[in-house]
Amino acid sequence: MKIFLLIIFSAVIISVRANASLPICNLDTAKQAIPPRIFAEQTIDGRDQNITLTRFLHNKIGIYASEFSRCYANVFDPNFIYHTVGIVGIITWLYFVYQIIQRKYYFLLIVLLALPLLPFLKFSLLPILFAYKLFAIIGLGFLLSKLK
Amino acid sequence: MRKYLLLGIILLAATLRLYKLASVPPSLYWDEASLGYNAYSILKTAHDEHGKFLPLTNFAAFGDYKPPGYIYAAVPSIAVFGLTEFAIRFPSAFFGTLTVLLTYLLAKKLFEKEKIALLSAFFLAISPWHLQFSRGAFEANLGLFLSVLGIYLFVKFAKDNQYWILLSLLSFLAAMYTFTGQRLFVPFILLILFIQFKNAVVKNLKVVIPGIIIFAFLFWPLYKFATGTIEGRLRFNEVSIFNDLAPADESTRLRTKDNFAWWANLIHNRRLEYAHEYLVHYFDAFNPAFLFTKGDVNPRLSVQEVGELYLIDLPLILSGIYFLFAKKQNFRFLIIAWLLVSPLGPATARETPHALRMIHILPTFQLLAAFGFFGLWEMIKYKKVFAVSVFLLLAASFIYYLNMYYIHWPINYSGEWQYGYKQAVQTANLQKSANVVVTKSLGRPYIYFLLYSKYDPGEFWATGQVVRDKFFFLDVNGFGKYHFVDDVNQAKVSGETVYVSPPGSVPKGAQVIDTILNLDGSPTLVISKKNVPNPPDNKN
Repeated sequence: MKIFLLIIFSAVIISVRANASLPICNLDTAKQAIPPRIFAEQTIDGRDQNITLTRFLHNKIGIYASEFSRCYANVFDPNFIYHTVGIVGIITWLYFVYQIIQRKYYFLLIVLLALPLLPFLKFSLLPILFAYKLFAIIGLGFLLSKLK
Repeated sequence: MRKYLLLGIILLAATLRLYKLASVPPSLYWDEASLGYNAYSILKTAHDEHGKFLPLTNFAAFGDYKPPGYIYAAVPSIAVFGLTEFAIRFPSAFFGTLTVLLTYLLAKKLFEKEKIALLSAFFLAISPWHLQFSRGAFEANLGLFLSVLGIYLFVKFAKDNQYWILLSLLSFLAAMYTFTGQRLFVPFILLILFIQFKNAVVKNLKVVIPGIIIFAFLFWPLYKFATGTIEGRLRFNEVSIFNDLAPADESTRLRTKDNFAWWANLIHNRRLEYAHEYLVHYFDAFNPAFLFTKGDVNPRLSVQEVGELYLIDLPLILSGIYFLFAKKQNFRFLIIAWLLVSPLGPATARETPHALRMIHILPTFQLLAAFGFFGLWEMIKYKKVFAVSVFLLLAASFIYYLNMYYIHWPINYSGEWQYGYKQAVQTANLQKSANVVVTKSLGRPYIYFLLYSKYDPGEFWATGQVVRDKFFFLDVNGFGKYHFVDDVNQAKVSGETVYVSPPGSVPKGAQVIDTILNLDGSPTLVISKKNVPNPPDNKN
């Protein structure tokens, strides 16, 4: 019965048309965002404010980190995951993440955390789409193995 | 020592919410002005702006039929502080501060650890999400206080004394009379609370049942209004995704492509398309850009460069969720279910994610972050390094947020707050003229002239030209000497006339008195004056 459910739901997860897309957000867009933001933010601050404070609050490192974190977090957008693996898949995907932490599968955790670097470094999204489907199926396996 | 820490957190919360309350945000936006003037009208006459005596279920206002809670809460504030920006926003700031205290009390009940409770309260005190709405006259913020109070009192009912259930249900009821979004949240949270504390509910039925009866009795007028009248359903119909035909069109398109095969009718069913649309809107609530990097796209609801939560909150919240399950925390069902049901109502609307409509999700993130912090603290070897790193990152994020909120955001987005109306009213009223003709281009100018002129409500009822359009929205075309028009050049007036118009629409022959600038230096309104001759008599 468990094998049957695994096959059926895996088929559902695999057959979800992975038409998920992410906004364009990579190394280039992060670099391009820096000059206009620095200019705008420092201009407004520069009117009455101490220059050191202005530079502490609005600097290239901070803006780059902000843009990078936005690009990074996009890959974990629930809508992106939902469009990749479907409604059943998103539940099993979350369960997979919980289980790899619980069971201390650090290698898989590192793979999961490294995946968002691919679109940031301008690689294709395909490995992420396949990986998410695989994670959802593994998570399904974890879930079914818990059922009595 | 811990009492002093709590006092310090409450003082911090109060300071953050009250400092420059009248000037940041830079101006009252139209809903704030409406709330303020209606409260003033109630104070002076016990009637709303349109002359209705002590409305119970709604204030007509702009034809958006506002819930009454915030308006009545603002009455004492206006009585004490006068009809000012500070007075209108004060209830939100005050109850926002009390929500921080409630978070501490609730966290203490749920986690039974003082440190987690203090940290939860601290996180909410400095939360961008909560600060944004505590510093404006937002009904949602008062509604949040009331629903969190309801949850806290329900927990007290289950743990301490059965009679707290009555106050809990009354708090939830008040929340529904305060903010429309609470009407789609309270039923779900009550269900969750009943499930979480089912043993206490069953054991105390002799108190619970009368409480439910009282609740139902007091809820009935609101229920009748919200479901039985066009006005009550207006807002929902306006924003609902279920009134959008796009999913139905998509269903037809896909079924056509598959030649209306029996299986195509099954898998491309329009109900499934609407369900898919709903899920997309639901998951928007957890969009990382919305939560952690950019905030709500509406510049009134977020400073735009900081998320609704700080970025450092992300690992803490995820850790908190993990530890809730790993440690089998007693109230994990309550906290996680609260987190998951909060977007159910807002997901029915087109604009998602929406920080205002979803505010009742607070303070679950802060509870999770605090629990996550302590879970990591217990796990990590270098505890001091961990704690110092987290607080340094939090401090840097907080200082950046304050800089953006007080310095950049007002300058960049003053136009979003209808900035300029106050100055226009003051300048126009200084001119002794027979008429004042005002453009409607910034939206609903009449309420600002009522508010900043402290116009007598009785006089407004006598002279106001209120019209209702086919969508049941109310508009005011004039009162007294004030005329509100789409195009100031088309106004039919005579005598000494002051014009308040957008730049580039100054009437021919009018002398410019003043140009009002937004905080970014762009012109928003021009005040001009001219003597309009009487039209000739047509006696033939």
